[in-house]
Amino acid sequence: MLRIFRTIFIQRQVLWHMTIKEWKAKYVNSFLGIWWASITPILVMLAISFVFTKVINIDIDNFPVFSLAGIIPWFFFSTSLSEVTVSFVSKSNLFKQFNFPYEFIPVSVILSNFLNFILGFLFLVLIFYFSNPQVLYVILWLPVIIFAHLIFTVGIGLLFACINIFFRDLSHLLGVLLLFWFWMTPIFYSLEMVPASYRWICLVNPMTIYVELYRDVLFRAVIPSAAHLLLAFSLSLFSLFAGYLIFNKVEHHIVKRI
Amino acid sequence: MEVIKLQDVWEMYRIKFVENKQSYWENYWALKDINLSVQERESFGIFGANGAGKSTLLKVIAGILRPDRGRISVKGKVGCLLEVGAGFELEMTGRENIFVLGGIYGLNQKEIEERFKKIADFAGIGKFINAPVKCYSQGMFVRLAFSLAIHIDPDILLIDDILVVGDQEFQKKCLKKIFELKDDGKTILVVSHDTNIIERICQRAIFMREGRIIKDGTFREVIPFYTQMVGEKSGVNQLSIGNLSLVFNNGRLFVNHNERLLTRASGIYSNFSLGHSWYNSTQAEWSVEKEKDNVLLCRGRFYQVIAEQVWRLELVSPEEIKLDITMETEEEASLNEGFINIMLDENYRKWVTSQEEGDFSPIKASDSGWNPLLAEGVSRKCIGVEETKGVISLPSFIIEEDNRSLQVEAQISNGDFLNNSRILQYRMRGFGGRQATPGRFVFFSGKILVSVQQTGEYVKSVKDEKSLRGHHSLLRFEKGRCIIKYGEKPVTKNEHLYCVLNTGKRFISSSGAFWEVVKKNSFKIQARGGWNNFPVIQIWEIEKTSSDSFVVEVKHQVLEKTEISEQYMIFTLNSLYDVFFTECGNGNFPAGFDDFEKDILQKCVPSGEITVKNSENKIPDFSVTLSKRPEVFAKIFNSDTSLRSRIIRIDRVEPEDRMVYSPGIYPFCKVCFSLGQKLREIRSVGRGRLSLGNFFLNFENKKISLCSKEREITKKMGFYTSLRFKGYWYDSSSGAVWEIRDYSEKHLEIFLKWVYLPLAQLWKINIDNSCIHWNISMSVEESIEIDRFQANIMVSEKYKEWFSDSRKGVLPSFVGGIDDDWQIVYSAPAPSAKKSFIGLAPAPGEEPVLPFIRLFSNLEKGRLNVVNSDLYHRGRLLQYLESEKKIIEPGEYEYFSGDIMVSEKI
Repeated sequence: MLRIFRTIFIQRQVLWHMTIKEWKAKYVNSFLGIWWASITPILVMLAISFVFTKVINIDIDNFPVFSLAGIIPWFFFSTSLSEVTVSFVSKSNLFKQFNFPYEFIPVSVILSNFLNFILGFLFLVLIFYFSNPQVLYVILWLPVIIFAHLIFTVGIGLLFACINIFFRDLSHLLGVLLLFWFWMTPIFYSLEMVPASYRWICLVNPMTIYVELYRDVLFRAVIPSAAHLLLAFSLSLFSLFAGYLIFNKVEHHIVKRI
Repeated sequence: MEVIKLQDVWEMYRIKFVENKQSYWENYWALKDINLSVQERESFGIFGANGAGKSTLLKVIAGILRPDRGRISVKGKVGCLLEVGAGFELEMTGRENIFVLGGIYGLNQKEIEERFKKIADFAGIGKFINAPVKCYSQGMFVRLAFSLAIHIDPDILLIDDILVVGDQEFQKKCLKKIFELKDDGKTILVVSHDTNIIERICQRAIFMREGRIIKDGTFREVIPFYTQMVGEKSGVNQLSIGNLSLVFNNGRLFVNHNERLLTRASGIYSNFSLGHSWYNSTQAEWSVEKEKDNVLLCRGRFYQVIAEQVWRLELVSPEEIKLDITMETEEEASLNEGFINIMLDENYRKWVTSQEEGDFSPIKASDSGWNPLLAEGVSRKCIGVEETKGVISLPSFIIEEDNRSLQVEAQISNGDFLNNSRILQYRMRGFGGRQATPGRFVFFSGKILVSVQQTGEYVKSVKDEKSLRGHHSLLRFEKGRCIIKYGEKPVTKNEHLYCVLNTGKRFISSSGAFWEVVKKNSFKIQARGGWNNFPVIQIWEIEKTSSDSFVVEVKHQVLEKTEISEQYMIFTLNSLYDVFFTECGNGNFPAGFDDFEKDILQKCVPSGEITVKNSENKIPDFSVTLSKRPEVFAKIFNSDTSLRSRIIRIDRVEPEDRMVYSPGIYPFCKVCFSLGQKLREIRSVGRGRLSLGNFFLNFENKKISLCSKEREITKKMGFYTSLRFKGYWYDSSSGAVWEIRDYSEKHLEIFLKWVYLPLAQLWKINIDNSCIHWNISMSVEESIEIDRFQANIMVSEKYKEWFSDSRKGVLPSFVGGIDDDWQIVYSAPAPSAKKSFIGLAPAPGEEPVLPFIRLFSNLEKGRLNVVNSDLYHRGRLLQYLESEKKIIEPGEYEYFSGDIMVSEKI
């Protein structure tokens, strides 16, 4: 388990270059470039706000900011996951030339998305500050939450990427899966709005805990509860463990199967 | 130090096979039990057919694949070039890719910046370095990838067979760089199908098949495995006797001697240009069968064109390989030229041809392209190489063509830096006329001799098959010219004997055509030559008729309607000749030559013999006899100073309406020429006089004439016989060689041998008072069909009246051109008794007085005619004629027997 951190540390430079390559490749030839990291969540927020305030009236104060606090982490998670799932296949090019730890492929994909997410966040955080200046007092909790979220994403991503090598159907299923997951996560509604009898659906969803944590800090401007944080970190470590376990099992076959 | 070590390495792929909608998984072992250890600074080549596991092995060493079983250790940084374009991010520019990939290779940003210029310069792709790599060509990818791989300071460099994508220049650059890296102590592993490249780089090599290492050893030990085992199985086979073994592998022939490969690269292969493209024997689809234990029959079909090449290889002995390549093409496009190429070990140091010899210079890195060592355009029958120093003890290697192929030129070249070999080549041309005659023909035919002792002596002694040899004389047909020699003395010089045609637009020479020469037997050569863009095939038939006499007949085969306005056959003779004799007069060649002008000495010699000689006998006499054809005549020239030669030119000029020829075969010219001392002897005896009272018979130079004291009574040919064969007349004065057998005051015996017909005549002339008894017998050598037989006496036009035993009349004046039939004035059947005759009477009062001439025939066949000749000859003829078409079988015959009475009064 610790090996992953060790290899990453030893060959951090290689990983860094792969991440940069990924990140540059993403925006090469695009006009707005890095700004898309901020623009996309805002556009989604506007669309959702229109639907849930003007078409269907949802009784939440300051709904746009409320939903944005969920959309940003969700976006990082979903784009990472959809990219990372096919990463071994789409980056097979690299295997054929360079010798590096295979896990760098999904990790670098996630890291490049993470870089994107952070840069987008730097700008969007202003929106939360303006809507509720109290946020400033709790903002230091944010990196902790982001770190937990990143670890979780790496774990899930590693898992999905490995599964996809053997079951290519996953990449096709993923679109629907993410759609389900999106609706089952309290992004444009609050957990309280879900009838108690169905609330368990949201609660078994690990993304709920991360979205709630983000919302605590960015929207409600409260210090997240220790229990929640503990739960989040447990989930992160568990997913990383699961992902790495599977990866270790299939690592050997990756090059030959892609 | 051991940098790479593989122990019992196995590598498996699990592959899904789909067949008839059913899929199943199978384990495929790409590497089996690989044990390999590579030392530091070692360079190492990997051979094998496709799918042998070469690339997998490189990937395992590169760490891209992990072995399923076994252990591997690699020490040092690995730079690799495994797949074209691998690793590049397509959307990013070359520059960005270098920075990113350099980082992945483990360089930091500063290091990359330092090296960037070097990398870009070496790649040499110019401003494309700043373009997205998706715009790159394959070659650019390889250039950039190679450049990057060598500039990251790898300790181990792995190169899969991708350098071939680069152009020659870049390959050379890479090769040089690889040598540098080798010198710097890097370890290099190369996979390639180019045996040359591997040989240049690697001391050591392995040959892989089906995932296993079959052979591990020095390059020399491994290479035979490669040549024998790689390639489509149906196109591979081998032969061996003793030390010599041959491997034919899909259009390439490899020769091994003592288990050492003598050939390089593609070994022996052929290529040819058909239409506008070049094709190579390695491109064909081959099937090989073993005809006998020592014979391989290899058929190769080219798919791009309808063409087939068949190689027949026969291992005659442990020293000799017979090689016959025939070809068939149905393409409309014409076959322009072809080559057979032999690439040989660069340790061969000395080359030798039938005419010259020399040493190869070492091949330098700056050498690009093949460097030919022989002058172009000279045909050499045999060329070879040998190793002089004897360090490696390579056997000598000789190739000899056997004249069955078309016009062949040999070439010996030094190879370039990449192929690093000595090259023997035969170049075949003269397929020019092939367009019209599709079908199977000989592409190359000859033999290869290995380990002949005394190579030089052998090559020089090879008999020349394009020559005819007389007692003293030698005629050699080369490139549309006949070179004639007598002993060591050149009779002809410069262009020798050749033909020139005027096509209406330009003059073309037989020496500019492409020739196919066939020696039919030791007496006869036939040559066919064609020009590019001119639909005529010229055919030369050269025959040795007696000890030092030759007949040359030239015909034209016209393939499509075309114009030929003038035709010349030209003898360019040695300037030692200073006198000439012709029927129209004799003369001297001037001692000097005019600077600019050709000096015409004799304008028109219609037929008969032309003899040239040196008055001090410094060179044997040379005499040409041309067939009597109205449109053919000869001219004698003195050349200008550039040629400094005596020229006899035979012209054929057609009337304007006959200049355009339809397809068919047309005779041009037939000449007989003899040379030697004998001619002079004949001539010295060949003159004399038989007295006949007031008159006498003169004989000299193929002519018997009747003379009075003051003047000649006969004219032109005088006494002569003539036969008609296939519509042409062959007469004794121009068509036969005379030999005086006996000569006394009242008796003369002459033997006449016809040059073009297989017959001879013996004339016996006896004088009895005023009567000349003329007796002719004929001997025939082979059956021949003759339809006219004549014995004639041509006399002066001063005779104005004719008479016979029963009638008489006046002779008309002359009419008719040179080719018209001569006018028969009176004709009567030959008598049975000795009574009937024909005669001519002079005009009354003619001074000096001419005698009456009467011709009696002693035969009971034929007719006696009084004939008027044409305007050119202006003679009256007393003629015996037998006009019955018959085939004459070999044997002796009576030809004519008659008396000629010459008297001043009736």
